[in-house]
Amino acid sequence: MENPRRDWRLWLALGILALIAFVLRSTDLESRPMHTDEAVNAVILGNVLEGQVYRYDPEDRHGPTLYFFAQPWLRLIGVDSLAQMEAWQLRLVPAFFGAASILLLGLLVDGLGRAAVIGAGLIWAVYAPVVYFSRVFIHEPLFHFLLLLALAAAWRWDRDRKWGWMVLAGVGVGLAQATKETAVLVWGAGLIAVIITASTRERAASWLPAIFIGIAVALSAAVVAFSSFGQNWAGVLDAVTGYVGYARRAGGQGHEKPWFTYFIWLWKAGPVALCLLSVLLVVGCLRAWVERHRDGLPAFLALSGFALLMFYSAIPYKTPWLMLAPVMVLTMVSAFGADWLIGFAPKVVRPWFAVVLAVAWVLPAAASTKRWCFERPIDERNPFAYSPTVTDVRRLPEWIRTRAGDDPLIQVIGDDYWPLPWELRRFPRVGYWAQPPEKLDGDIVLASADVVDEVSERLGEGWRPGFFGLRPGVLILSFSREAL
Amino acid sequence: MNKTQTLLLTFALVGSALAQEMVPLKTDLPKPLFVGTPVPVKLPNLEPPIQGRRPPVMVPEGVENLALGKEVTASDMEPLLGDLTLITDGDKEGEEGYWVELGPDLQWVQIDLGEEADIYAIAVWHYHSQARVYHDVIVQISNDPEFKEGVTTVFNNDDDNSSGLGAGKDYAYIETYEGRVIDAKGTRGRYVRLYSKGNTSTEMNHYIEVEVFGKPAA
Repeated sequence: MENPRRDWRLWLALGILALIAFVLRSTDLESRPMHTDEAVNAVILGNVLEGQVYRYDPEDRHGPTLYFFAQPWLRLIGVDSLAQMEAWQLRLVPAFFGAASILLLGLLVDGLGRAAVIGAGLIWAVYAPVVYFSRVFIHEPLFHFLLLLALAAAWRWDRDRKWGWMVLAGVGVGLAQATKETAVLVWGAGLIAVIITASTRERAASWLPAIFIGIAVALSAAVVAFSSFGQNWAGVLDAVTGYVGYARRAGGQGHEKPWFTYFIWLWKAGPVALCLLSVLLVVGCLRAWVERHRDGLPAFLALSGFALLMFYSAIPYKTPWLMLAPVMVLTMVSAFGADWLIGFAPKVVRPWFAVVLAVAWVLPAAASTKRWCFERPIDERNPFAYSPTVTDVRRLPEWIRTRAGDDPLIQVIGDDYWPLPWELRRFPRVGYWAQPPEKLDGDIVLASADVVDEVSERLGEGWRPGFFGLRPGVLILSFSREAL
Repeated sequence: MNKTQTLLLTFALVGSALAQEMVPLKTDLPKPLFVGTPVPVKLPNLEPPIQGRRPPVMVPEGVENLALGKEVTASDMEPLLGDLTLITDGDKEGEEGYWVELGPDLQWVQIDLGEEADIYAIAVWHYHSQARVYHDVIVQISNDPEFKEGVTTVFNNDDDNSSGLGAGKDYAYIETYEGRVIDAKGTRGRYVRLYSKGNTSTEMNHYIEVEVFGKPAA
């Protein structure tokens, strides 16, 4: 069995793939306006940078780790407030974790095989859905990195029986839990897979003491994170009670979609690449079954991947980034299948067959990545562009300066104004109201559709209305003084 | 307290006030409330609430749509979606397949009426399957196909002259299935040119239909 630490060719290959992945994830990061979710994350991070204690709030927020990991990077480059931030600085954080995930695959080489690990790295490096969301300042890339860290470290503990690996696995589990609440679905899927695969093996019993240690470390890591390093103990309780709200929101809240939606999104993103991955997935599952007497990692991945896909498909609440976790797990199985397929070729042509197979997948996959990630990142036909912010909103700061100078009083009113707090971050005097305030005395008034009648009536004559797009079909009305 | 003491105290207070450095009054403004992922919307079209119902455009009896089936040219002769004939084919449906998409930034389409005409109204439908506003909508009439001489502007909502054709006083408006009917006031000309500069949802420019109501010049 290969020793992953001594296989320099494996690490070289994964290093090159991680580099390619990072280039794809970090190029042209300013081209797309900030999504509402990114803007919310940026404002929270800005508060943390400005000295506020992060207080975990399960209502409309995720765990704190993204802000904790982003903070040192931003401080390093001299960013101390929201006003100083640029989109590229924030988006480099998911880009980094997205690319770094590929390196973690190397720790699984003795469970999947070298070709499968490199194949999975290739898929993650260029596959459109994985690339797209590694360019967005949301929790998913960090979440997946931490999940993979937990998986790889647990696997290494199983191989090497060194306690350090189990501690690392516990840290990965705890921090993943403190990144996204959907981690419980992963734990559920993993448990199902462990129960099924362990029933065919005898080593389950040997895991028990280590599991207790891993759980203790995981709980400790989660408590440290949710409590903001002991500064907000209520966050720990909220992390548990918050699941009541999550269960309610799983019903949809406007995001409900049919069970097959993830397949439709992937199909729209690139049918050729999806078909080939699906065929290889079937082959991979078959191999995992045939070789089930082996160490069980491929079977574990296949079972947990399908269980995760079933969970996410059954839950009415769907957004495109949620499908990434099952996609990343199942593409490892696809790569495992590709490795098997290549093995059937005569030895002399095997490398060429591998290259042909890789090129046959990479060409259509790269074309769709180019289209959706770089050419049309917020196009309404882009399956990954979910309620995207439109470029029109970027005109707003300059428009305000032209109408009212550099230091106007800006009143933003209504219940749908995000991501304006990001776009207006450099104006020092901006207030946000859900309903029109008593005094409408701003130099600029911005109103969302729900309050525009009242705002317009109260402003009366002497104000010129204008429009700015926030998202497709969502407008904000701008009022500037006619005399200006 | 005697008069002298009162006087001294008054001086002390005034002096103290004068000695303080004056700073601008700062008021606390409410912070933004955090929200979850916004739901993708498929809104019915909105009529701009600030404008109310627009009055009908008055035209002489007997005017007809002179643009129907007429030749259309454009600044972008290779549209990204659809083709220019859609603009004068009489179909005003909002679905894909009924509109033509021109590239980003300032673009124009131009209709050749075939002969000089007295134009009383121009109706334009950019896009109406979503609430959006097109920027810098400018409509001009001329007998010069190059629009260099004898140009009359009948609508212009480019209030900051960002398109360089002069600042306009007309208001921006939300696209609806009713389109926008512009009063052309009997302006005489053979060519009608319509400009736009992207919209609130995308950087692209779209046209479903343009109708030009008038009578051939006597």
